[in-house]
Amino acid sequence: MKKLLVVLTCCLALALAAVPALAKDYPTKPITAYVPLSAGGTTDVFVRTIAPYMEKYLGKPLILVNKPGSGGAVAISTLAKAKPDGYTFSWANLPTLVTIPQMRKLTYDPKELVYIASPMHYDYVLYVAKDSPFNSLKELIDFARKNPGKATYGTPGLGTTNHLGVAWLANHEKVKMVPIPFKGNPKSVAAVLGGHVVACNTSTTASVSSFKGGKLKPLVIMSANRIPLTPDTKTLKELGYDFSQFSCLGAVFPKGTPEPIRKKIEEAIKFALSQPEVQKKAKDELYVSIDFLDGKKYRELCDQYWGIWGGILKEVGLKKF
Amino acid sequence: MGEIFNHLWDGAVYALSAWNILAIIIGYIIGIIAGAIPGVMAVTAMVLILPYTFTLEPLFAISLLMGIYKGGAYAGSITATLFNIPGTPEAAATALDSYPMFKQGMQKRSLEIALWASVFGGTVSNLLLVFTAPPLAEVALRLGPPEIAALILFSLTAVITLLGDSRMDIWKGFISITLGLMLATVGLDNMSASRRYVFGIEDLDNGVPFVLTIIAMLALSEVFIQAEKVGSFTLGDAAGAVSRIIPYTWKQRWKDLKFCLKDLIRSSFVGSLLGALPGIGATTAAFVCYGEARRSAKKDARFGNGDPRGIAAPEAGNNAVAASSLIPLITLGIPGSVAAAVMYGAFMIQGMIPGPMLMMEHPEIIYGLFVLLIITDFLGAFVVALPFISVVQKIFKNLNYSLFFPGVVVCCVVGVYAEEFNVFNLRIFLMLGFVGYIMRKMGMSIPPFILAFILGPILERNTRTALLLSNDSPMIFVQSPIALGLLILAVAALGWSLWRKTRGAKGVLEVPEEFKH
Repeated sequence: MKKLLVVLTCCLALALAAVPALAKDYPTKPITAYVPLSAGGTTDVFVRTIAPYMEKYLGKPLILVNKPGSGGAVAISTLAKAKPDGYTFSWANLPTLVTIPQMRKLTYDPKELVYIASPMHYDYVLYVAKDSPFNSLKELIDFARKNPGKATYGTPGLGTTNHLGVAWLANHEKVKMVPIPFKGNPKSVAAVLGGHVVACNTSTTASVSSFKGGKLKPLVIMSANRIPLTPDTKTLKELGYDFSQFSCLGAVFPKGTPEPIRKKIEEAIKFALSQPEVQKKAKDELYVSIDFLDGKKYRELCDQYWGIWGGILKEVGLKKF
Repeated sequence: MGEIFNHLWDGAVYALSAWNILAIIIGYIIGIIAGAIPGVMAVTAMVLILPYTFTLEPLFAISLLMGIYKGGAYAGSITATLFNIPGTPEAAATALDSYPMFKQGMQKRSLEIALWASVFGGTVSNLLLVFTAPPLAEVALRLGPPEIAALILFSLTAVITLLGDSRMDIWKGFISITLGLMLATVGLDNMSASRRYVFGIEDLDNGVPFVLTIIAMLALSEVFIQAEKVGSFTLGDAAGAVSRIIPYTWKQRWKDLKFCLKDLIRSSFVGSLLGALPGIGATTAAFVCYGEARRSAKKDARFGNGDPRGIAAPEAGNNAVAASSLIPLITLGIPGSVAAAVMYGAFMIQGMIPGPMLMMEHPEIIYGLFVLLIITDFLGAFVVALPFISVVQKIFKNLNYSLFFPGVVVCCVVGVYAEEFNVFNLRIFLMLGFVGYIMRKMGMSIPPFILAFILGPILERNTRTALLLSNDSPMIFVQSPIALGLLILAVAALGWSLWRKTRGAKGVLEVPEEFKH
């Protein structure tokens, strides 16, 4: 018993001595990563899919902690207070870095964070119900023009990119479309199915089941590229609008995290994305688009969309900062 | 109809393996423990286990979660009966009658009524899920924001039956409701995401967490009340009644079943219907069923003093929610409750998206799940719950209560922390526990507060959404026949209960038994 205790104490002492290791040995202990949304959602499952490959690359476990709340801002504000030693990072959805900071006062400044990389972006589709009289985006907009206030659309919340994307469209066409916020994408889809709203702008995953079940009709892809789920549906760009709804998942470190450490996690993400299993799962089961952006590009896109989304937020009266 | 039986048979062949049955039993054990510990919700246990299902077989993982869900749905009634501390919020209504019955020495009876009512409600709802899911989902879809808002308003009137009979108690009850509704407005406004009553504290943006509030108001405040008496506690002498235990005979069981049958049936159907509507939940169902049982009973019924119907109705109702809340998930791919959202996640993790397509492409999985659901109630009750309650009874017979209550506080704190891993929440928790204590001391009952707190946000969201849809015209509430009907019912229920109460009262200050602490 005593021997065991001595051995254990020695082990502990060794372990403690190893903690202040240099960045080049990084990582020497498990890394904590916050997930800004609740367990079991698309983002969560995606992150859990790539985590084992990141662990393989890093050689240390990745501990995923779900910190949902306030549209993802809870995770980022916790992260912003963490030590910049490379052992805590957070996955971040674009709104927590771009739109939410312009809508309400937060305890973190997104521009100060260290942007690691972005592994994927979300795709968005504007749907109407199967039995709806509208067969194209143009018909819906004509309806909105003739019946101001009648063209309602479901969103997963005001100020989400789903809301702002359609708001841009309505603004561009100078028609009135009424955003109806629901609690999450699935409920917004349900409102279309139940005939309570005319259309909904939803992320693909929430609509897969109803679309394949033949209950929804896609009008337009709001995001940049056509998607495998609805291969014949055109994008906004193809319809002649110079706009696409962009939102991605990325990873961020707190301010002051050293560059070599950031680079290491960036490489780990890149390594994970190169795995065929990951690519297959993303395409066939999660319906998200893998689209690797390194730290620099990720940051540039966020900066660019700060202006684009900020402008729309101002138009709809949600911009406060 | 015949096709459904064929599918069920295929599902049974596919799903009934020793492993899956073991998963149900393990899950039920975890659920019953989580549900029975005040402060730890079955859903919390499900969320904590969910990430680990990544590496498990699909049906094993889903059976495990189902077991937890069902076990937890029943187990909340155990601590509600023994200590007046509901282990889960949905058992708060059960405590109103099961605790008084326990105090009269009939603990075996009250625990068993809760168990059999749970099995009854669960089974009815399982069968409804199997045989009527598509039409029921269709009905649920057609109920839009105005109808839901009217339904919630009607549900809120169930509270009136929980209030005492004197004018004073009714006023206090209304204060309690108002406080609950007020607390529910804290946080980001759920429509426009503007901040309300957060005093610049970012941790409050999410509002006062649901589980935390319920545990603080129901459990922690009860511990404070009990702590006052702790000096006078002796071993095995909880409420001065545990020493004499009245046995529960078969004849009595039969009599209770006949006595409660009508309420069991009604509650099972009401619970199933409320469960199929997204976002209403088991706690509401339990209170509505309790309220309905009480409303339909004769004036001389012993509600609040250990009426068996007061246990059977809410337990059947809240367990009926368990299966029927899966209806929107399975038929439409829309999770209607927190637990259903966790199940959605479990499917997603396994690479399946629940919904009509899964039903068409892999009916064996869905029907396998149905078969497992149906056996879960019986398996859980006979293999896990019955032995569990007899052990619990033995333990609590000789329990030192001065040790037990600090234990409850520890469990609550762990449960609250495990929900969001946020230390700030513990501070709100203690504050709210103290608020609950003061409210009880002033004779304000807690259940109306809880119900208002739960229903407030749903009522607000649906009312505002309805008004958005109608361009701010309140006519939308009367144009829909369902909404109009429910509103008329709500007003009638309110008027009738109040009239009935004031008629007998004559201004005498009589505090009903369930609120004496």
